[in-house]
Amino acid sequence: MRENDRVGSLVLLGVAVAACVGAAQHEVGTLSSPGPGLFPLLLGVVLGVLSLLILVRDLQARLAAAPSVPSGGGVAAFGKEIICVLLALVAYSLLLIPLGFIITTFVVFGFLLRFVTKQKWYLAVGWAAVLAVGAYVIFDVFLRVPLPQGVLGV
Amino acid sequence: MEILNYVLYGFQVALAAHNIFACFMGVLLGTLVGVLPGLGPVATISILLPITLKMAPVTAIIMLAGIYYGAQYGGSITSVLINVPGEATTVVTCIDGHKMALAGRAGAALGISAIGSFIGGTISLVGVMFLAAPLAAFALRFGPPEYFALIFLAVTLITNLAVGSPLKGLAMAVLGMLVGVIGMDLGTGVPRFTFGIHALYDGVGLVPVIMGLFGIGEVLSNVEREIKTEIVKTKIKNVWPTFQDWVASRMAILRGTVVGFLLGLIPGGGALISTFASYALEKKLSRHPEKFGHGAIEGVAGPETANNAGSQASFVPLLSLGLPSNVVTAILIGALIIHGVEPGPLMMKSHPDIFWGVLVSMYLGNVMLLILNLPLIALWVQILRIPYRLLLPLIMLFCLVGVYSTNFSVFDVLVMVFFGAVGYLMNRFKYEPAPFVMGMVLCPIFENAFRQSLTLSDGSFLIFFTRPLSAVLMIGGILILASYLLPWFRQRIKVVQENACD
Repeated sequence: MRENDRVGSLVLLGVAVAACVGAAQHEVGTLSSPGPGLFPLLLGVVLGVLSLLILVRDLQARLAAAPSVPSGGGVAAFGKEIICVLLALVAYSLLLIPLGFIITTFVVFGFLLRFVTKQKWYLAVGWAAVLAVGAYVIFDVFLRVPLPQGVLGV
Repeated sequence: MEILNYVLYGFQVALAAHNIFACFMGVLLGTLVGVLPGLGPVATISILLPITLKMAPVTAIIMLAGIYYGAQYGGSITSVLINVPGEATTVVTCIDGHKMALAGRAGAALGISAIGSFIGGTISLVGVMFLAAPLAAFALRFGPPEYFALIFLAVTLITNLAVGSPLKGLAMAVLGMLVGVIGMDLGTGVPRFTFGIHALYDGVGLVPVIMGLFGIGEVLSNVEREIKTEIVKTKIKNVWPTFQDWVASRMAILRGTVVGFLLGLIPGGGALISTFASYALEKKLSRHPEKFGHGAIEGVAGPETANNAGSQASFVPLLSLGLPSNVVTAILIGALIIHGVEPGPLMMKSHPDIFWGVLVSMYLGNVMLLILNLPLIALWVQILRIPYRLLLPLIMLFCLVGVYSTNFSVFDVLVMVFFGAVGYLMNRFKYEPAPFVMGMVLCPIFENAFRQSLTLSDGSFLIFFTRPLSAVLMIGGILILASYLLPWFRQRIKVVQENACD
């Protein structure tokens, strides 16, 4: 399995350019009285150089290794399961306040248990309920971490 | 002797009931989580970090240190019993430890590793005590250029010694610094890279970033990877080593201590390199090197001792200079800052309770590890049997509640999820998250030192090279950087020459 550094280095290069542009919008100042923009600007430049070096090295390895092998080898950055989990986590963050801890935990973890860890649906529902209520009791009641009540709190 | 008074004071702090309890809980929880397959010490300490944030600073750091030791020991257990190292530092333990377990000697392997860790920890603690205080006193004389040079050297060393490509490591360190820049500029009060988001004015929180990278990121990486938890089916008995075991491993333990301590002082992968160095050393010095790889107890005792001695030695730069030498100490520095303690050479004077209390509690932690683990190994083995697919949601929920409870901010939760995705990608494309975290933590000190130095020198970069200490450090860093590029250039030149000859 060979690492694919091309995409990664291009992403880093993009970040570097963005950092330079962003830094330039602040006062860069002079070397004798550096402004808030100077340090991030230099960081951006260094990151840009590094990402180019990584890119060049990757291209070299690509040329040296096997010119006949079709390049690209487009592996998706995220698998389907990972996307599911990430979306579930984002949904969790967004629903936490409006729906409250118990309902959000039940819904999101029920989904995760059913579709990501592939439990049977009644097991998923059961575990999710245990998780939601159990965690609420442990954290909110015993450890006194005030968790959002949401629609259940009146 | 003055230092004796300080040590006594340290015992006074560490033996306070709540601190002892924190140390005990830390070791217990650390082992408990560290034993879960696929969760190494760094993931463990990240996941458990929010628990400590409500405590007094000394207690929090004592507990975090306890978690660290516990998690390391938990990693040794998984290495020996199921051949899954929690992190790179216990890879070596798998080699002979797992072979011993297959031969029905899992108990002896785990026992010698706890005892070795205890002895190594005890000896290196004395070293830490005698080194940290003078080093802190010396560092008080450092000006901004020295600090800049020191961090520069540390970052190059860290990326050089860490696993994987140094170029990528360096890129991650710089990326981490860029994230560290986000927020209000301390010098001028100008908000930088905040995109108008109010929650970013105070900067990106270290807790959500760490929990995202190491907690959620680790979970995501494990979603696709099925961890086989095939436990060796032997009863764990005889954790106390036999006389022969003891004779075979005592020198390995002593050598492991020295190797671990010395390498642990160097920033970057100290504990990692020391385990490999110790293994290689034992194999070389052994009268029966052919036994290595087939369950030689020295091959477990040496590296396990070196690992622990090395992680204690890494507290020297942490406590005396305020510099992290690995991710764990970076997390500890982050925790200190969250608690309002400025890490650095002044800490010994301004927070002697933390300085000496933490040092002594490290010792107590080692004692607890020993008394906790020898009888409880059977219990840890049971935990290993929990199927990973059931653990995933539990860990995720724990991270979500944990990060939310630190600030009651949904934004922090989103930051954690974002860095979870980033951590997953880093894992996948072989970028090390460790230098990223170090860069982020070091960024404020680094930038400050940089700007102050330039103001001092009226804009001349020569200031970093005209002061002797800073010059030595800078040149060291530059040599390391050159060592990444030189082989590449040499190869280029060769290619060009060959082409010219054709």
